[in-house]
Amino acid sequence: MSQIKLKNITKFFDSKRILDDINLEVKKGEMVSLLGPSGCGKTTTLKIIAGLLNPDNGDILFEGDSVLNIPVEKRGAVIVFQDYLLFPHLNTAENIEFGLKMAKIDKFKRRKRVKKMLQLVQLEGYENKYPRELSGGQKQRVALARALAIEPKVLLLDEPFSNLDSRLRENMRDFILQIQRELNITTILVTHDKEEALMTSDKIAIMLDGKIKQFGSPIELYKNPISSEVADFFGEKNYIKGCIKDEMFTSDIINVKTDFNKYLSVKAMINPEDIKVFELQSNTDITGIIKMKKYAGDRIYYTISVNGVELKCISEPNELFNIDDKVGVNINFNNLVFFPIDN
Amino acid sequence: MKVKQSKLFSLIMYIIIFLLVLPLIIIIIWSVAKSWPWPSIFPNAIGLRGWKYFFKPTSKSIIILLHSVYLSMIVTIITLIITIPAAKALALYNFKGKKIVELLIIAPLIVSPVAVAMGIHLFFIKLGLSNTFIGVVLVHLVPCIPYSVKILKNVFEITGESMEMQSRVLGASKLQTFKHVTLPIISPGLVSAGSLVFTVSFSQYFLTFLIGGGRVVTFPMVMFPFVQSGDRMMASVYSIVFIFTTLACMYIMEKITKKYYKTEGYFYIN
Repeated sequence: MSQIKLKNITKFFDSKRILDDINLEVKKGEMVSLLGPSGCGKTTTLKIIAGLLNPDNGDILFEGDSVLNIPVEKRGAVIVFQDYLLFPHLNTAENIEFGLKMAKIDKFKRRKRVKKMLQLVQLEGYENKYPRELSGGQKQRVALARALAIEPKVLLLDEPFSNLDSRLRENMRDFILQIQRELNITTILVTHDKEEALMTSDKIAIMLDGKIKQFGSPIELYKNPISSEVADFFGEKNYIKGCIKDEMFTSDIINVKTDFNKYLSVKAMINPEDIKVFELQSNTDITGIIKMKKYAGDRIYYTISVNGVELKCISEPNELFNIDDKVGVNINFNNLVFFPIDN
Repeated sequence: MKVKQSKLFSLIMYIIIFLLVLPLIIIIIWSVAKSWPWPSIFPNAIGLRGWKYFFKPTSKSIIILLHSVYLSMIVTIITLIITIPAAKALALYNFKGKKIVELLIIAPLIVSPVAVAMGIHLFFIKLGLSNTFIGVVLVHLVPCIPYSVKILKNVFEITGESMEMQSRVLGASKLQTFKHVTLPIISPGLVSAGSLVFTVSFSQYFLTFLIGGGRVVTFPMVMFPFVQSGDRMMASVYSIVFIFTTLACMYIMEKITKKYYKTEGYFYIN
C-alpha cells in the first residue's frame, strides 16, 4: 500500500488555478522529488499534504485513509522550510524538543530523543547555541533534527539546499540522503535543481503550471521524456525537425531507421552528450564547423553548425578545437526520442 | 581629524541631551523651591512643602497614584489582547472592507476622542457605564487601540506567518503555537506597544473626567488643578512622580517580558 496518495488535487487562489488535478503516489520509504520552476505549485502541494492549506477538490490519503479532516498538528507530515525557520527564542536543544514538548511527552524521554537527534545530525555540543549563533548548514541540520524528532509519517523538504553555497549543498545533499536511507522515512523533496532531483530521488514528478507532466524514475524521465517540455528540465537539448516515412526518419542532416511511426512530422531530440566531435577524416559522413566553445574544465561545450543546423554538444576535455575549425561529428542514435511537432 | 569629528559629534549630542533634560531639571528644582522669582538663577528659599503634602496620607496622592497605575495596566492588557488578533489580521490576511476597518481603527488618531466624548457619555449613561471604573477603562481603549494596532501590525508584517506554520506542522495546536511561538516572537513589539498604550492611558485627563464623573479619580485629575492654579511647587512634585511612574512601569514591563521569553529586545527577522 502506498504511504501517501494525492487524488485529483485542485487548488485555486482567487479564482487562479494553482494546482490542476494533481495525482501522486509515494510508497513507504521512498524519496520523491517535485521538480519544477518557481511558481509551478510545488510548495503549495507540500502545504496541502501537510494540511496548512486545504485543497478545493480531491483527496489526500495517508496509508489508505483520507486525512482531509485531520488538522495540521495531528497529520504527522512535517515540512522543513527553505529558510529553516528555527525558533529564534529557543536554543538548539529546545528547538529539537519543540514538537515533543507540544505532544506532552515526558521530560526524560524528550531529553533522550533530543540527544539521539543531535547525534544523528552530528551536532553534539551545540545544545545551548541559539539559532543566530549557527551557520547556514548547522541551522539546516537543526531544522532537520527538529522535524525528525517527532517521527513523522512523511518528511517534506521545501528547497532545502537553495540557501547553501555549492560545496555545502553537495555535502548536505549526501547527508540528508544518507539519513533518509538510514531511517527509511518517506520523503517528498521540492526542488528546481535537476541534478538535486536526479541524484537523490527514487522517483521524480515534473511539475509545470500546476500540473504533473510526468512521473517516473530519474532514468525513465531522462531517457524517455514524454514531451520536450519535460526534456528541457534536464538541460539543453538538440531538436532536429524532420519527417518519418517508411520507418525512416529523414532530416537536413541525418537519416535514421526507426520503428516509431505515430506521427508524420516530428522533431528528434538528441542529448548533447550523445554528440561527439573528432578530427576531420576523409571518410566522415557528417561534418560541421565549431561556432562556439565554452571550456568548463572537466568538459567542453561546443556549438557546431551542421548544414546550417546548430547542434550543442558536450565533449571530453582532451578534444580541443577552436572556433571555425572543421570537424567530424558522430551522433549516437540509440537515445533518439521523437516528439510530434506542435503547430 | 576623525577624533575631532567625533568630539564635535559628542558635543552636539550633549547639547541635544541637555536641552531635552533641561525642563526636567527645572521641575526638579521647582519641586523644592519655596520662592524663585525671575531673574535669579537659583531659588531664593527652599522648602519641602510639596513633597510633604504628596506623602501626607490625607492627600491620598499615593492611593490615587496606585489606583491610576492599576487602571492603566488593565487598559494596557485589554488593549493588547484586542489588538494582537486585529493587527495580525490587518497585516497578514486579505478580507473585504480591510481598508475601511483600517481607517476606522486609525480614526481616533485623526479625530480626537474628545470630539466624540459627549456622544459616548450619553451612550454610557444609558448603559449605566458612566461614573464607573469599567466605563473609564472602556473609554480609554478608544485613544489606545490605534497606537497598539499600528505598532503590532508592523511587527506582524515583519515576522509573517511562517514561524507559526512551522510550529503547526511540528504538532503544536493553535493555542500552543500562540503561546510558545507567536507571543515570544512578537514580545519586543508587545513591550513597545504596551509602553505607549500605558502612557496614553495614564495621561488621559478629559475622558476620565467626563466618563468617570469625578467618581473615578486618576493621577492627572489630582495633578491638573495644581498646574492650572499656578502652584508650581506642587505641580512640579506631581510631574516628577508622573514621569518616574511611567518610566518605572515601562521598565518593569520590559523586564517581565524578557524574563518570560528570554528575548534580547530586538526584532527577529529571518
